[in-house]
Amino acid sequence: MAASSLGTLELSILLSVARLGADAYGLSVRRDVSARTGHDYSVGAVYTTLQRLETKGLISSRTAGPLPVRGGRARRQFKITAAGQRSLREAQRAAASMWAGIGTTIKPEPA
Amino acid sequence: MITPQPPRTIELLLASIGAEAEFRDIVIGDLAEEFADRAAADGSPAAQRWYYREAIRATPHLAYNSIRRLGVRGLWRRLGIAASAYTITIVASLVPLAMLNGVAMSIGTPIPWKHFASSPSMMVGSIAADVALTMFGGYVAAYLDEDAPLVAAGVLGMVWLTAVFAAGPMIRTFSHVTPPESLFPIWYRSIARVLVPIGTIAGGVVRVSTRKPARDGASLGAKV
Repeated sequence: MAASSLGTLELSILLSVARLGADAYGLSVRRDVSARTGHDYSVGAVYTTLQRLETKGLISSRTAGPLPVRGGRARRQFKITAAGQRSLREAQRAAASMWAGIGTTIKPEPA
Repeated sequence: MITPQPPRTIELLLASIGAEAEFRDIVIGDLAEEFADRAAADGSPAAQRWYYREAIRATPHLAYNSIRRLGVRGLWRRLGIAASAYTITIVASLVPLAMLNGVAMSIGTPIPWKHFASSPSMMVGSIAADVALTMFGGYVAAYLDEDAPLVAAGVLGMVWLTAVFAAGPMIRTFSHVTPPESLFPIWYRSIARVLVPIGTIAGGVVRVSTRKPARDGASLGAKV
């Protein structure tokens, strides 16, 4: 999977799933991505993206047991796959390549 | 201590959009879990406000999922339900209308249908009747489709609107008479058309919010 085919939200969510490890489920991913990007993503947007990443084979999922706090509904837990890890490395390489030499040309942010 | 619960009607409405069961339950489950966290931290009113906002934001995603899983067979099924609901509604509205007309004729004071188009109060009354009729239709469509009642009500709105748009040209083409609707001013016709899908969906919402919960809890996930 080419890293270039990952959208901004897809990349953020894939990174979040990788970071959260065993704790990666919809709500925790949404909180993590929202806290880091400063953008309040909706539950639906996060799940639609998670579904897309799963279809692309970048993450896998399993259903955990039902919880009373969720009205008896189950959580869906996500895990990054080997293809997902490769995709992240490619994205990192591509970003590093794009940033190369930029440090000297942009002015530092005023304090 | 009683744990605050998310607004039940909104949960029912979200569950009625017709998204696939797993996606629907995960989204509604996440909303419920975050609602509980927010209610504990910020209080129930703030959590409810958050819930309403998030429910609105989740709706397009649930609707998108619902449309994607519909398929050709599902679309035909919903069109069949819409056609049935439309027929039931038209028949149900014509019977009392015919009775009213019959009574008026028998007492020698026929209903002045032709003056409807020139009387603002009659037109407002007619719009109110249209709203009641489309809501009834939406209720029937939602009743006939327990799996995705709001989708059925929405499809009925589209079918109904198509019928309204098609009726005028068809009457002109096949009977060479002026369609009765064209006697009405443009504002009346515009409002009547805009209200068709709104009315059917409102009828669907009424059905969803008043129906008894499924015995197996399928529509809202099995309670623990």
